[in-house]
Amino acid sequence: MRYLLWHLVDDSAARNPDAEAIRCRGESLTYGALAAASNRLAHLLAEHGVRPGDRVGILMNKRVECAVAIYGIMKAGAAYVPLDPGAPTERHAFVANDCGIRCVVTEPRKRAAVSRLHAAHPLATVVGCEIESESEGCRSMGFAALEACEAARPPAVHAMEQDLSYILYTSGSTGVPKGIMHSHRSGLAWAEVTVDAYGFDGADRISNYAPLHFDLSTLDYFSAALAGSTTVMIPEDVTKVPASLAALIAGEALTVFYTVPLALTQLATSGCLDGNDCAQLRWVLFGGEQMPPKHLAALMAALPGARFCNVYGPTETNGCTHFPIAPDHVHDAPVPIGRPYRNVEALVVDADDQPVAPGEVGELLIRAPTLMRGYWGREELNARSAFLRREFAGVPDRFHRTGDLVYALPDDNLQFVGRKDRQIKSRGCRVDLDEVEAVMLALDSVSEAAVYPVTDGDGHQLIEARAIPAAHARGGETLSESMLRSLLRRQLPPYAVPVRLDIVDDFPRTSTGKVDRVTLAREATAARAPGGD
Amino acid sequence: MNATESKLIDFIRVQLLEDPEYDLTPDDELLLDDIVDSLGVMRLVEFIEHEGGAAVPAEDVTIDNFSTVSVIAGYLSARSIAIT
Repeated sequence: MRYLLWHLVDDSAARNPDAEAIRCRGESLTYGALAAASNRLAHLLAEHGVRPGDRVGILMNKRVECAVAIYGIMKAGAAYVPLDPGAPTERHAFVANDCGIRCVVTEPRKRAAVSRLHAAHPLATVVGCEIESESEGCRSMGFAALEACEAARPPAVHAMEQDLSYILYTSGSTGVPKGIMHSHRSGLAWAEVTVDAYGFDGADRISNYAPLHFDLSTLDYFSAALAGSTTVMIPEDVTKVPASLAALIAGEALTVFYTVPLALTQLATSGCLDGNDCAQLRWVLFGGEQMPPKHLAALMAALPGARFCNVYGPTETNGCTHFPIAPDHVHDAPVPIGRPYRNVEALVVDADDQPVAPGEVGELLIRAPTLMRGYWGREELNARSAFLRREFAGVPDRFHRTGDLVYALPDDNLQFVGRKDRQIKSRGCRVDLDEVEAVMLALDSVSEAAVYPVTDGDGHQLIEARAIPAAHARGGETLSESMLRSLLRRQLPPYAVPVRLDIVDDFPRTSTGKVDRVTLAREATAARAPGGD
Repeated sequence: MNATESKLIDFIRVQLLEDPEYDLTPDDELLLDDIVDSLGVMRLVEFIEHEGGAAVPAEDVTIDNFSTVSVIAGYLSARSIAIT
């Protein structure tokens, strides 16, 4: 019976222990080795006090040991919580404190980052590197400590499908991120949905482009493990250089590439696909934000053997709808978000939660086994995010309110229109602009802040901001642009830091005196257009 | 740190990060540690071509040649591209 996410690896290991499970920079782990290594890690964690239900952080750059960490933590009955290796220490400390992380799995490269985290939020156990600690309560050890642990089977801990498998932190509107809790059930359901939809099998080589804290990564690991495919990790530096990315896709003979539109835009505009044979690709999946139609058209022409598919779904639901793109698709409009996967119900409702007439705009609500359990420690949000329809007396159906506004096209595909709130996608990652404003307003020296989205020439969104200094901070001594930027960079992940920051005397205002962010956004977008300022 | 490294650091801090106080050393991992994103890599190449008066071939823009300021300076020296 398969009911925990780590059963996927052990099942694949039992069927085919020598099949390659994970690859990164030429290093490799078979399913048998991954099962054994994750057993060892689970025993080590259990020996050092990790109990079922605990939250264990992962702070690593891409390497094969990331998979050992993911499965080892789950085999100890705990939930893994990926910490963004590009984020500042304040962010790591916030997450660790918010969900009570006392143990982190890491690597020697991250020694400085883990040490800084420990200084801000004391840890009891660190596995993966030794750190200096003044407190007696912290035990740290390198990977060598795994050698003495049992490899044949995981520790006998009680765990069920509704228990937490992982928590992914994402931007929140009140100035602090919120943790999205997934269970083994929702994780397994998503793996099953994708293997059903895309036909992954043991011959597939599936990319892991996204960092672990970004939910695109769950397909890369868990769908692959279910199908017995190989997950090929794409290191962070490779993602930044299109020529290296194209070379890796070709060199590793990837068959499935799942990424964000920005990466596809860069591949299309850099021309790097010309010198690389990516003919093995059979699926190019993309999600996280809207894909510019002209670059999609260019890529489809460059990769005629691949099928392209838009995957839509907030982190709270995993993927919930998708739009496989027909070879003769006309690229004159935004790509639809498509139709629900099997075992997913989608409702488009009005302000009274009633289904809208066909073709009308409404909020998208999703019911599916891939739904999160809720936000960690945010009862008031959990109550608001669920819409309950009562089919039978006393037995509610829980829907998740996506906050996305959509409408149904005549062919029943759904089309995304916009957000109900101020969340945008920067490089495919969620940023609630209210969070960035809240962080700015928390500064004594800032009186008012306005953060707004700007669209670049390719249709990708960027973040710009303006601040009005407090009366005591005027004159540039207590508040300057670079000071503000450093402060923001210390608290927010890189993709949430505004690309442009101006200190101003005032903002454009509406007739009621409120900040006119719409005008700010419109003028700033126009200024960025070719021929603009 | 040599003059080339200094000039590169200056460009990254002021033009890419817009943060002249940013604590950047020649050995910091620009790409692995998310200091410079993909757009930043392109702008860095444009800067080098403009200051050095020489084209950087597309096949030379790789993670191996652009990992740290020190490595970039080494690449420029090997190709006899002077930006100072």
